Amino acid sequence: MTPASNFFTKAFQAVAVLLIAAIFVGLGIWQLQRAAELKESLKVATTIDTNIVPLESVTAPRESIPATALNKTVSVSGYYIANFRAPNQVDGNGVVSDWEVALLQVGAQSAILVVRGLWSERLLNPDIQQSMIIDIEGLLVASQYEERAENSAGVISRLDSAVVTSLTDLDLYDGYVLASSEATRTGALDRTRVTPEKLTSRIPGFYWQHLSYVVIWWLLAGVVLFLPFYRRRVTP
Amino acid sequence: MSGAIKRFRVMAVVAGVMSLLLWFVDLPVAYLFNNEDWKSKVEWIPFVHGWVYLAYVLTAIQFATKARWSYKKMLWLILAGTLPIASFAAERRVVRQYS
Repeated sequence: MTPASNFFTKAFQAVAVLLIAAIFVGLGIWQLQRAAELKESLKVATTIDTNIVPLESVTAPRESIPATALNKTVSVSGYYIANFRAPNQVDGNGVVSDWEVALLQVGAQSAILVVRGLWSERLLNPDIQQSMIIDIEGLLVASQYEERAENSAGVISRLDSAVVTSLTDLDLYDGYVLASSEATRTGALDRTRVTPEKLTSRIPGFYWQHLSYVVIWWLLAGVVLFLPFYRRRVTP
Repeated sequence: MSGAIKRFRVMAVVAGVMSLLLWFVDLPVAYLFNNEDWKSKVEWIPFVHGWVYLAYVLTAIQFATKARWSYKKMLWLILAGTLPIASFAAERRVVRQYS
């Protein structure tokens, strides 16, 4: 090998090593950013905001709820157009019971699921009619993913608007409202309300996984930088 | 050299097992089944796989350097750790060639 080609080979190897190491460092930085974003989204999702804001100001129908809208106290008005039993639901005190869930039509085109209270108390307000405007305040909660029962007539398997899409042409909101109060023009509706699930600030495994990948990528970058020196030492 | 081969063989088998778990348990649960309970039960797999693969890469580099393999051949050995069966095949090839 001539000195010139030897120089170019070594220069190419040096550039390749630096490039690969830079890619690994970049991947580590990317994982670090993902960990930071995850932590930030958890901070929002684990804090109940008691300031009451209109539902339409924080989310929209046919869209996933933004992380910033979760666990906000919202106000919404509309008509109940359907009623469901949601079996085997667990409240914030760990009590398992069946809940009464209604589909509330909001405006002319949209609707959202509202947890009204316990199924056993569904007959407490017989004066409620489907044409009545109900003003609701409650917590905006993310849709459930786990099935709690079988879907059947009048029964929903989980609190998720996806399970009632076939029953209505309205545009559905993602998530549901856990009502803390309901009122008609004639006054408040008195019934036991479901206590919201206690929010945990525990950082899930995914966060540590991202941080772990940061260390792995940066260690690999270190290995790549050290490799030429190691080869020279082992095979002089 | 024999120490480097032993270390590589152990890590090739461990990385192969972790790749099998990653490809055929973790990824289907994460992307095919909508079950949060299962997801939480398998979230350790990619975590452990990442560290096992790093150890595999280190042993592969040590072995390939001591065996005076080219960079290209070393790269193939490193990439073999990313596929479920490839690291087992690489381990068998090393055993045939150097034992």
